[in-house]
Order: sequence, then structure tokens, then C-alpha cells
Amino acid sequence: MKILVDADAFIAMNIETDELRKKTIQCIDWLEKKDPDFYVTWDVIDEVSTKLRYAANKETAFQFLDEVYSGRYEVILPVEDFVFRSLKIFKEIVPKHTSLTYCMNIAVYRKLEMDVIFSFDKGYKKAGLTLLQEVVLKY
Amino acid sequence: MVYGVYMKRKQVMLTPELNYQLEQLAKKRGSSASLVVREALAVYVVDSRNEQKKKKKMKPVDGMKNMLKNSFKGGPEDLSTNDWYLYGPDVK
Repeated sequence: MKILVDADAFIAMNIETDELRKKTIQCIDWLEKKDPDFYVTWDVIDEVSTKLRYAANKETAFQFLDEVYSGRYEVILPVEDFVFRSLKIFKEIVPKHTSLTYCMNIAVYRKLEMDVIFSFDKGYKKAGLTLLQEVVLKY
Repeated sequence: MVYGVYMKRKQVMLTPELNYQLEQLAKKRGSSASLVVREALAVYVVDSRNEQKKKKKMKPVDGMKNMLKNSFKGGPEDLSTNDWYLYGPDVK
């Protein structure tokens, strides 16, 4: 199972009081019975480490960085092909609050044929991606 | 020096302290600084490889559980859902 992990899930894993914490734990418990392959885009690494360092502390940010570079994740770097795909999506998407990180995730998900995205952002569903939570709730 | 074995030359910058310790160790062993560096690097490479293998043996989900266990206590509840923390308040 190919899973692209998004920033909101990573933050909920690292911040005990986060509002998505319970849903995130539920997803992780479900994943324990599976044999997932995790993918993460560089853009997500950038966003999560910056947010954690600002809003929590640098140790939490370092823990996150150590984990994504532990060999348990495939880190997707923003190579030209992904960049152009994400820019195209960025121009096509209507809502104002759209980040390039979000568009990069959609581009990578489609190009690398991910099964699900570990995120709670309903915008991905509108873009045709499958949220991990939807799959978890079916079981 | 092992004659007949192909070697590649690498230039390495050392701090004066490390250089002193390297020279002392080489002197004590009766060998060259190059040999000591080669031996140390060989051990380091093997250790790093073993460490990487050990990490890979961990299930991917175990890493996530580690983060849950060692997560930051406190912090804003909406950090995962609010991009205000990255981009600042919405400017109309």
C-alpha cells in the first residue's frame, strides 16, 4: 500500500494536544496491521519542520526530521517534472487558500500512483485523491 | 602503505586537536596517520551500514508510534489545520 503522508498528519503525531490527534492515532493503529510504504514530499518536510520549530521547539522538529530520514520513508524531491505538474495544478485550482505544497502532493500522488494520502484535508478528496481516513472508516 | 593495491587520494581538513590526536595515535601504534584514518573510516562505514539496517528493520508504523510517544506536550491545538502559523493572518 503506497501512502503519501501529509503535513497535518505529521503535526498531529508530534503535538499531543493537536485537534487531529485522535483521528491520527486511529489511522496509525489501522496501519499496524498493514505493510505500508510511506512517501513524503520535500515540501511537506519543509512545512512540518518549520511549523514544529516555531510552535513547539527545535527538538520536536529534529525528531520529525530524524524520522523522515530514517530510511522508513521515500522522500520525494521537487524535481522539474513534479514542479511543472504542481504549478499547473496551482494555476487550475480556484480557492484562494491553496499552497504549492498542496499542489505538489496532488502531483506526486497522481504521478506515482499512490493508494491513499494520510491527510484529513477534504480538499484532496475534491481533487480525486483518497484519504486514508475514508479507508480506515470502512473497516 | 599496501603496495600493489589501488588507492584514491582524498584531502581531508582536520582541526588542530584532531590532527594532534591522530598523530599521537599513529605514533603509538607505529603506523602512519593515513592507515589510522583508513581503519577508522572502515569501522565507521560498517557501523553506519549496520545502523541503517537496524533502522530499516523497524516497521514504518513503529516510527510513527515513536513520534506519538515523544510528542510535544502543549502547543496550539490547530497547528495541523491552520496555515496562519506559516503564512500569517489573512490579509484582505
